[in-house]
Amino acid sequence: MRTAILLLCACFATAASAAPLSGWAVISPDGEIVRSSHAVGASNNGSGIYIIEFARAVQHCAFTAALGDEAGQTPAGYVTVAAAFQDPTGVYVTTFDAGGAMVNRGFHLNVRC
Amino acid sequence: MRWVTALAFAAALGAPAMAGGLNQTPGRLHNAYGPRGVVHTSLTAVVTTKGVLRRGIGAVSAAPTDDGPGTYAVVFDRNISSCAFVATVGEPDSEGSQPAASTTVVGLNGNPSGVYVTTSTPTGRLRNMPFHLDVGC
Repeated sequence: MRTAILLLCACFATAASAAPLSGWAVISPDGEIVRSSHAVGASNNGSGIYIIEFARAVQHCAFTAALGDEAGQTPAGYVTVAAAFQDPTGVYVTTFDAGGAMVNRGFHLNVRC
Repeated sequence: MRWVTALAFAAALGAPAMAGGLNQTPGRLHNAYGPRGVVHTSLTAVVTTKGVLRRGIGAVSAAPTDDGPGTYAVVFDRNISSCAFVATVGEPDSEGSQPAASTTVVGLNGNPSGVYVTTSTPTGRLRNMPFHLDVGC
């Protein structure tokens, strides 16, 4: 029976590690994770430039984001996304003010795989 | 008997992931992102500046439309006319990034499986740009 259980456990573990990872993150203007699912790190790498790290590769996923902070009102602006350069687990997010200048803004990020 | 015990053990392991799927209509379940008892289907499309479908879930085609720059039609493999569409301008891959830009979304006229996406500059001018599209149903 041990063998059967081990085999089944192995199957579940394999399925879990191979499964594509979907997740999300709410990021503060200074690049900290406010809350998330499967995000393991975030950094603010310059004005309006963020990299969000997830627990597994996300470079083949779809990313959507909207400006918004943990609380209070976020000024009008823009956000764009990309897979992080040479970083399969990262999402590169840029935030802008209403005039198109790069500025730090909080945002909500959704990763679908 | 041994196999029954093993299967019961396996079922217990999988129970948390499957609990939200009980007594529900078929669909792709993202139990971690919604309340239990809700089936959430998430379809996606990542589309290049030229309107080429780069990758996606359930997406079957993408193309620029005849309406002019910054207008795209993305078609999925099912009726999504009752779903929610969210799009963000963004590079399909990991090289480069896009300047400030916005998107709008609406169901594709005459096609219940399609989404019509526009991409615009901050001044409101329609311009071709790549985007990521999420369809939640």
